[in-house]
Amino acid sequence: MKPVYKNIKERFLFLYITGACNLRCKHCYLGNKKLNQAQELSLVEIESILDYFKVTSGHDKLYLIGGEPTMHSQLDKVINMGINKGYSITISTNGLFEKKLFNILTPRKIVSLNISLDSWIPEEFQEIRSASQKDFYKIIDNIKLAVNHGLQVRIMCTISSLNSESALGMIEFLEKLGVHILSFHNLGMTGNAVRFLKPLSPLEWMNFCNAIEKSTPTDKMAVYYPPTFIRKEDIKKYIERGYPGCPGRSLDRPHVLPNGRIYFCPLFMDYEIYGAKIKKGIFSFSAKNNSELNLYYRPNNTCIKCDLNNLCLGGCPAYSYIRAYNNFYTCDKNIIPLCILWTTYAWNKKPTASIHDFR
Amino acid sequence: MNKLNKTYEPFLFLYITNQCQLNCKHCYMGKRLQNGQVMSIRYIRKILKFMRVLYGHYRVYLLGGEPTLHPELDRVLKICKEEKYLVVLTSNGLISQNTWDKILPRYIDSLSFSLDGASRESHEFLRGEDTFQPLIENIQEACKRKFKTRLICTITKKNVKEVPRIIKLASDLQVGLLSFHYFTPTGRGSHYSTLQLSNKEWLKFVRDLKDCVSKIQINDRLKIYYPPAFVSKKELPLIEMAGYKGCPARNLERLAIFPNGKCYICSAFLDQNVSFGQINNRGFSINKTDSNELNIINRMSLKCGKCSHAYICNGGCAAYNYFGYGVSTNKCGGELIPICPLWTTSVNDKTQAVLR
Repeated sequence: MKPVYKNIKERFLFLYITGACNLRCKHCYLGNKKLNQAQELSLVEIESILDYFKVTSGHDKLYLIGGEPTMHSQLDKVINMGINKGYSITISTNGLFEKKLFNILTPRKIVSLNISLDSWIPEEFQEIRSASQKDFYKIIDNIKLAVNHGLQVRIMCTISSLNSESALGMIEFLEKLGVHILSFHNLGMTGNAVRFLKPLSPLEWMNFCNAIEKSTPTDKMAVYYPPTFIRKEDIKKYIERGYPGCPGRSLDRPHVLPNGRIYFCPLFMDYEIYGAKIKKGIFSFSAKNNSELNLYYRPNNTCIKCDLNNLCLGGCPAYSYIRAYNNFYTCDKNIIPLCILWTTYAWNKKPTASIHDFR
Repeated sequence: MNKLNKTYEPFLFLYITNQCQLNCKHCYMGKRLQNGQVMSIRYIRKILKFMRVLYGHYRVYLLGGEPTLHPELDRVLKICKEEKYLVVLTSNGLISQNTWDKILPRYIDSLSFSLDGASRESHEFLRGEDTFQPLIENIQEACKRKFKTRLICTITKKNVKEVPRIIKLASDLQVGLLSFHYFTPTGRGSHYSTLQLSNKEWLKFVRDLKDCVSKIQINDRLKIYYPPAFVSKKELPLIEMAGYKGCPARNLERLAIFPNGKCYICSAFLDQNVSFGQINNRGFSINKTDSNELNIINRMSLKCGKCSHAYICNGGCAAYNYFGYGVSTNKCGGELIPICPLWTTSVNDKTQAVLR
């Protein structure tokens, strides 16, 4: 079996340029409290953060997220700054922006436009997003416009028990709109999700993944999903596909919030256990007893005693240390955990375009 | 250039004992050698398991002190194999007959010896009397016993002139690898900082080394490695092509752990009170002070943000800035560029396969 350390690390920088948002979605992992603060990262801070990660870690893929990143007061300048510093940029939006924004979001500048859409059924959309049907159709219009503008359009669809039954309908619905990529996400137990929604249980999730695999493949759109829980005999397949283990432990994917706090995994965001801070380009780790880093470096007792030679690479620390996951999952050495954020392609159809590295 | 293609080399440096027969002038261990602490078998197994689970570590360097002085060396080696690690053991060469009987090639994937001169005089200047002859005999013994045998030579002002003779000696001894190291004045070495080569002298050493390897006749098997430590702007793309990946400490790839449980992420700081953390029963607890190594190695000079080749040197080496030797990024003019002094590349091994 290919050793896991040979797999390429995905060095993405997730920059939460603003906490402001025009929606209060039930599955938002940031949570209403952070959204209500509506804090914005200044251009000066953004510049020092981009410099810092570019230089020290060679990061060159930048996700602009929020809140709603298109609400940043100087979005145009943020994008240009990222490009000038050598980053490829993707922006993750709820899709409720005005048409004139397509003057800024051009294919030359934006590698991929990520739009969240959690249902193709307007009523279900309304329930998840606490938004109106008008909003639903505005998003659909923007998706069509984005496709017409030549942008690579990727839809992110977060699955909970609320929308799992209708979710596969997204494939046909989005394909017709000309969308390029559909990424299913597995609802994490953070932020609003803890209060308003339920994730699928590990077994339900596995069934959902099976249903994706059994659905009719399409050539027009790539579909990705996070396996999250797998049978131990399948690990080899995922390692061959590039599963790199927990990206938190090697500090590969920093999420920088508007207040300068850095979480290395978004599942930990509900707690004051951020891994580090960055202010004026100075990076300092948090060494509180329960800081993210301390938790990542505390192996689960079950894993230490496990005789599977660490097939799963120590799994995901969130199940052991995040309160919301109490009694959610215990490893039985048959169903083993992968990082909830790691996605793979459906139907054994590996998309060849390099653009798909950026998802 | 796409640093996204970065993979890691997770190595574990396990200092299984602080005991040593010697008092080398250039030893980076510092005062801890005097306390004679030994890592218990239970502890070693725990660390191997922890790192395997947390990071997928697969290669352990057994170090000390003198690791062959560990009272249960045979059990240590067995445990490393039980936990499915590749094992590299580094010795000062003072191995007793009794110890030879305890170690077998199937437990050690590579046996390294520290050799600091081609002559008794220069080697013993750093390492003390009666150390050269036993070392040479034990290198021969290791080869005879079919160990994959390697030599490590730390370059100082005292031995730099002997480099061609050192290469010749390594070739004659029929070892597979000779790896030169950059001397940094830390630990006991801080009292002998005058032994450190100036930047200019180091660059000359590198030039002469390449020249020498191209001219003299050496055994085909012998692969020679050296750390560039700092390079000219012109050479930077070559370093990148050779696989330089920036500071390995920033991703916690290479942990060094001592018998007292202290854990470091860069060996330049081993004699400083700035450890990364401490191993305890549950895993690691991260050092809570601001002087945590993680903070030190993650300080970036603001100048680097504006520099066009910062993406290759990754903001240089924090140890250079901290200790004020080598090339500090605060003073870097973008002509002579700092890279990790622990990163080595080969003079005559195009595949760079021996160390990778």
